Amino acid sequence: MTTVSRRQFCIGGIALAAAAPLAMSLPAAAQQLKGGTLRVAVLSELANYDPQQLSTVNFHVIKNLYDSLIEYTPEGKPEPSLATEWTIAPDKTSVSVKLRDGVAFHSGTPFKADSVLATLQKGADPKRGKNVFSTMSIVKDWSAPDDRTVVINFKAPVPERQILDLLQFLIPIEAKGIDTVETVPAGTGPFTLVSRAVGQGLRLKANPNYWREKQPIVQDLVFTVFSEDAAASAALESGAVDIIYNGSSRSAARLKSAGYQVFSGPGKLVQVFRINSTRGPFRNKSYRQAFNHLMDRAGILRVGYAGMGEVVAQPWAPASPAFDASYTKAYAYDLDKAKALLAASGLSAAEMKDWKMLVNGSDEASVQISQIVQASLGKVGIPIELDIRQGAEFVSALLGGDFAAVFGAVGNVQKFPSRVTTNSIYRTSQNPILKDPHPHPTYVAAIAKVDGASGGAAEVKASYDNLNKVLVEEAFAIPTNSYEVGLIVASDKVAGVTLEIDNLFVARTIGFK
Amino acid sequence: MTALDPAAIVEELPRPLLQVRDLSVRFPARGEGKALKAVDRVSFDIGPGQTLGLVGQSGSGKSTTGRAILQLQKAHSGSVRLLGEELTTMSATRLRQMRRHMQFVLQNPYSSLHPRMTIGQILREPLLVHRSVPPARLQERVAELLDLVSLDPGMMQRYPHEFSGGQRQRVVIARALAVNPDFIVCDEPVSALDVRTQAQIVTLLQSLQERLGLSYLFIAHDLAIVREVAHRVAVMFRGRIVEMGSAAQVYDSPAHPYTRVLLDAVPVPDPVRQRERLRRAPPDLHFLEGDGGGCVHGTDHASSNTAEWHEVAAGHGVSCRYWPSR
Amino acid sequence: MAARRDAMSAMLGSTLQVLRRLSARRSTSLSFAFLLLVALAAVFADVLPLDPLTQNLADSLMPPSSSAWFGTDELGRDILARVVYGARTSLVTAFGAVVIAALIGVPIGLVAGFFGDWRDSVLMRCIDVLLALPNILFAMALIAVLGRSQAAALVAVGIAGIPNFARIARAQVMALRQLDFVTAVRSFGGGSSYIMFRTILPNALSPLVVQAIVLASIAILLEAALAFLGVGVPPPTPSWGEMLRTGKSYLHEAPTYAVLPGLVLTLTILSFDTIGRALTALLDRHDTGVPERRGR
Ligand SMILES: Nc1ncnc2c1ncn2[C@@H]1O[C@H](COP(=O)(O)OP(=O)(O)O)[C@@H](O)[C@H]1O
Ligand SMILES: [Mg+2]
Ligand SMILES: [Zn+2]
Ligand SMILES: [Zn+2]
Repeated sequence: MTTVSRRQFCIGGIALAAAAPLAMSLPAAAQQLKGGTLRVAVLSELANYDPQQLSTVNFHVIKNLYDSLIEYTPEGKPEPSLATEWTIAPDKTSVSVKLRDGVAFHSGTPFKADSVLATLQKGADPKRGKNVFSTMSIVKDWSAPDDRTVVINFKAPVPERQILDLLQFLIPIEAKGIDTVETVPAGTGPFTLVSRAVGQGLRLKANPNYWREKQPIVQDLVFTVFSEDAAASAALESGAVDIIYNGSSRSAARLKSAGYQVFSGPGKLVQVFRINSTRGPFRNKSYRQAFNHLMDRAGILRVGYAGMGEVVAQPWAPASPAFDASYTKAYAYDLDKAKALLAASGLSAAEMKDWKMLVNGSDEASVQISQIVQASLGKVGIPIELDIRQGAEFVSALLGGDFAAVFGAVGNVQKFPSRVTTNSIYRTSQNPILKDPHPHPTYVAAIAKVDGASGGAAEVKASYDNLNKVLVEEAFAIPTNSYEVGLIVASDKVAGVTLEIDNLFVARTIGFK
Repeated sequence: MTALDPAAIVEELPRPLLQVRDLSVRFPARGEGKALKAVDRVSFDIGPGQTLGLVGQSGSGKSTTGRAILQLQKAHSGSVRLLGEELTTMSATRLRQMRRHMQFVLQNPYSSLHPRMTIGQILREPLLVHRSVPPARLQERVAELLDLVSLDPGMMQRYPHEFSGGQRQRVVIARALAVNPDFIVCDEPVSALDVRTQAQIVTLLQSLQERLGLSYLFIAHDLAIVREVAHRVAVMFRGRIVEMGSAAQVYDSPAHPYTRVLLDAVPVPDPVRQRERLRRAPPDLHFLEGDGGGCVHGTDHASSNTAEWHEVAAGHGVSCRYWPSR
Repeated sequence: MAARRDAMSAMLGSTLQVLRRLSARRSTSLSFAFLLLVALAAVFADVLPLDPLTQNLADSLMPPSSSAWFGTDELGRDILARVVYGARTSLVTAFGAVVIAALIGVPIGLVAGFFGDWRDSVLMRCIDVLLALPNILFAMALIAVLGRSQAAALVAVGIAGIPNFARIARAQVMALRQLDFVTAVRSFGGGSSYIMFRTILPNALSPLVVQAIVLASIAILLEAALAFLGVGVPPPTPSWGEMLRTGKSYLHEAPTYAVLPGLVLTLTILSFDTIGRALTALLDRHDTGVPERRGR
């Protein structure tokens, strides 16, 4: 659940720098792979077929029923897909996209500019645009000079990376199917829908007219929904499925040691203990700072995520330019330092424990790591209760800022540092938790400094250092560890797994050895 | 013979303690059919210290009459006045208060005592309900009551099942006496007991009446016992009183054919005569309907708007209903 | 006061009588022994050298050993300690639920059965509605409203048990209210509530005690089910259902984690059920509820 809600907010940009190291190198000899029926276990029921609904629950189908205009390699390099080329105007206020010829939608309708226009129209509609809508905010208008060309104009000059992000986000939907896309897929993707049994699964078959040569490799693609991680593991081990997509880190770790292949994509998440600094004892800076030392990060990573990830004290993946390993050491778990800061806060014992920790009851890892922090707090004399909520109730409390403190993961940690502001707790304006005016102006200033650092490497580095320092000082969000999302665990019979920049599931390159 | 209102008959008696007028009880019919008139326009008075014996065959409505008087059974119509107060229209709260003046002794002493309470607890119940005795005096009063019915006060801690039927009936009577009532309905108080015990209980009831000035409605189908205890006797048939008078009047000169049938059914001590009587064919019991039909005395009650009641002697009346058809 | 004491002792007497007769049965003595053990564990958990809360992340998911007989959970807590304290959670929930169900259900049944008029129709209609709702869904809906806590679980399970008590109490009153000793109390001036609670209730107690035992087992199961679904007593409070819920994720790494609490839960429910069955059989032979006529 965390990852779902998180994803809805954090997809929006693409790595600038190299993505996180891969668990496996990419398929070397896809052409040698054999076809057949690929059976995939998933742990969540599909929400709908709308490719603009970029939630983890839909991650397993989007790239199989649809193609985007461009794709990124796991390292963040743009590659053609439905767009064969794209030209950004020198003033960076428009982009012209050439569309691929000879592509057809599943219905047989040829792929032309009209579908891209309809897709842009939908994305720009606050009611229908879903996760694409916020990315469309830079767009002024668009036009199609001919059937094979689309021109998108921007309101102001836009950095190239952001333009590429938009193109990567645009997944053409057939114009006449756009109103029913939630229930009837209308894409050009490598697979077509055969049937769906709600609550049980989904059956796709290879699109015989797919434009990518020799893809997809398998003829049938079957998704089965498992409500239990353990059941999915058992299915893999018994040979009932070939792949588990987006299972738990713990199962992946166990299966890896049992000889299964594990693939982790570049799109990591960072778990963050979010603090509502407008409430109760959390208004006290020294009290908040104590929490930097109250996180047993190693324990949290091991218990919650089977050790798959890294401990971090900042919301960056190691690949991020702002990553600074010294913080992890300086702000390590240390109850004595925490006690000193608590004492310095001047708060009474009663004031200190006057709050509850919100917990996502639908996410086992969150329940466990919250208990670890609860125990640490108990050791420094702050006995607090957990306020465990499920599903939608949790999500609305989390996003609405109706909490004192809560664990919630953030994304975009492998991207440009200021992209962290797409996550609600790190937002610099209209922050739903901290509200306006932002209670931490030094943080707002530090972000502005990062965005404005156009000078030399030293200036950029100084702006990152400043941001890191401000983050631990203001201590309204305490990162604990990075972890995997969209993990793929595969039997050794399959090969050809492609890693997607946002960890979506791509089946077209997978086949049997 | 002149038609008289039954009330006129009792006018000369001392101020009645209990006054029952036209009391009717109906039970809804099971399924189709008419409602059952279990008690039909029954009227009588009972004076202080007096016993009215109510006799009649089983099912004639005697118990229902008793229960209706005690307001344990809702009356269909009519009035019941105790100590001048109308009971049928009384509020539930007031009625509960009035219950200390009227008590009930049931037929079966085995089922009318709470099986899981000691005798002491049972006798304390009415005292607590009516708060008639200060808590400190409860024990003393319970002992007093047991003494009153000739039971050993040391038995207070015992449970009902440890007692014989006669002893239990004494407990039941003691419970009825707990709140110093004026009037007790005794519904077949001895029919569940063996003959020797019956006599003891009857004697006890009589002596209590003398000592405490109680009034009884004594319901029984055993005419011999009723003759012994009752000052006046009412004969009931199919929900109606067909004859009423002093014990001597009713027993020695029965006026209603049904009363005669009842008296003839009483077994006589002489076995030869008894056998002979049983051999005789039962009398023709084709009685006239209760409603409609002519009066055996030729009175047109409907047009004169009088009760179907005729005085045969002072204080001795008889109904002209349910006479045998000719 | 005195009347209440009298009624109480009457109730107590009848309960003891049943228990005495019951314990004579061989088949139930094992169940009794086990429940006694569970109850003792729940009551004396604090004096035992067991700590259900202290985490030791370095020693998580250890198999059973001499230092931790049932092994440790994912946070390195002692599973035996959590099972023992979990008994407290289970029994408190069960006991509280039974008390709530009885306190609400029995008066409803008494009033409905005693008056038998419009009150009966209205009350029993409500009970039917309650009965038509699936227990677990009803409990979950209620917890969604009340928030997740032991009290909420207890109330939810308790309300789900109201119909059972109401129906049995009603049937008992209908059978008992015609009896002579009830008429006797009415005739000397006992009010309706006096008769319902002091006269009839003590005699209707045996089937209600059976119901309480049956409901206790249902309540323990329901509490475990709620915890298993993640809406029960919130962590870190130990609960068998919660241990099953978490433990099942570790079936590979630490099979005893889920199995041992599951075993204790199963045995507890089985014991309650065995006793409930034995009691039912016993009372069926003895003309349920209506007092025996001894000494005749
Ligand atoms: N609760 C009742 N419901 C329906 N009918 C009843 C009820 N009680 C008594 N009756 C009927 O009323 C008639 C009179 O009964 P009862 O007063 O008990 O007679 P008795 O006491 O003279 O034997 C009988 O026909 C009996 O069946
Ligand atoms: Mg009778
Ligand atoms: Zn009086
Ligand atoms: Zn006449």
